[in-house]
Amino acid sequence: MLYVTVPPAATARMLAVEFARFLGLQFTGRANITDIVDAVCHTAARTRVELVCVDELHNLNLATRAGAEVSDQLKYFAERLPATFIYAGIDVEAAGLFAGTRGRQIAGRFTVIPATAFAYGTSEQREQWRALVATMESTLRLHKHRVGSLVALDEYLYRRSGGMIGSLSQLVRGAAILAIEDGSETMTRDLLDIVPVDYAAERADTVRSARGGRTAKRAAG
Amino acid sequence: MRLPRLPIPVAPARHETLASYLTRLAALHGLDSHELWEPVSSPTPGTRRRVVHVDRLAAIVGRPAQQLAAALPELRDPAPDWAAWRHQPQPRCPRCDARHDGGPVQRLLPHHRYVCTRHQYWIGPPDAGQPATTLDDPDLQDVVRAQRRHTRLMRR
Repeated sequence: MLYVTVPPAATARMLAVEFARFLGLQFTGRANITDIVDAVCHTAARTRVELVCVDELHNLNLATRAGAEVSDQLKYFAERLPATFIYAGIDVEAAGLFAGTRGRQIAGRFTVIPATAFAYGTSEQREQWRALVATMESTLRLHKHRVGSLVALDEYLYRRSGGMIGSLSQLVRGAAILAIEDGSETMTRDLLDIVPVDYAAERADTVRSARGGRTAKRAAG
Repeated sequence: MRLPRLPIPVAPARHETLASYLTRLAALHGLDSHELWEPVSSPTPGTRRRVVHVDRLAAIVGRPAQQLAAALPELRDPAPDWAAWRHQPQPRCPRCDARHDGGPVQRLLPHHRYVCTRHQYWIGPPDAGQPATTLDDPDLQDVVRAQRRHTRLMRR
């Protein structure tokens, strides 16, 4: 798998360098974009790259000339590499990613999969959330951690993170670091309480508490 | 500056020249060989030669410096007694070379290496640099035996 992010105010060369950097290829200032793209395609084909994830796609502005060139460069990679491409970004439709000639080209090649926060309404949704927490728990390396004790806090974790995977990982990671620092080596609700989460999750939690549990949970779904 | 490791870090062939190894690595990654020479070496003032730093090469191929120095005679410290080595780089036997990916392998061989005893090919002068001659004829087996004895003698 190959993972790149579209840099802010990207040019086609910057994008090609991002691909090269992920592969561990460095270039002198003399290398031109064709050299870089050739090396990337050659190396990716030899290392059998099957999946290319392009993140922060909302940094791509098709209305500017540089943005249009980046889009063309991505299309060129997609044509040369025998891999599946996944683009990820925030509000890509609103960012004009499907507008104009190039936008229509992107729209004609990709399926849109909307991604939202995890929900906690139906039992199936809760099961999915618990599976996510369990996966995260399995990556913990705490000496005295009892498997399943984090999953038992699933509702609490949902309330704190607002169903956002990024907030959940921040929360669990923060508590794990505290557990290592204080020597307890196990995850407890007291530790999780100390860890601050991001502003968005904090705000969502406050709104939900004010409205009362059940309705808010449905709204989040 | 920390150098990133190459994604296809193939091993050097035994007795391979630095130029040959870097050219093969570059070919495997679709790079111009200058793009590999520059980060791993520095220029020698007044000449066009570049000095390769074994630690930098070790970083980009993710192999220990000792292993590289053992395979690549030019990186050995102290330097080998060059009087005992041929002046011209050459391929080894085609079957030994075929194991190594990325293009032709050029090696510096000591003078006493005349025969590949494993695959039974003549690799000494005057064939060096030309397609190797096979010695699998029963009449030529004493040549292979002589090389084995010679190698044993050299090790003593």
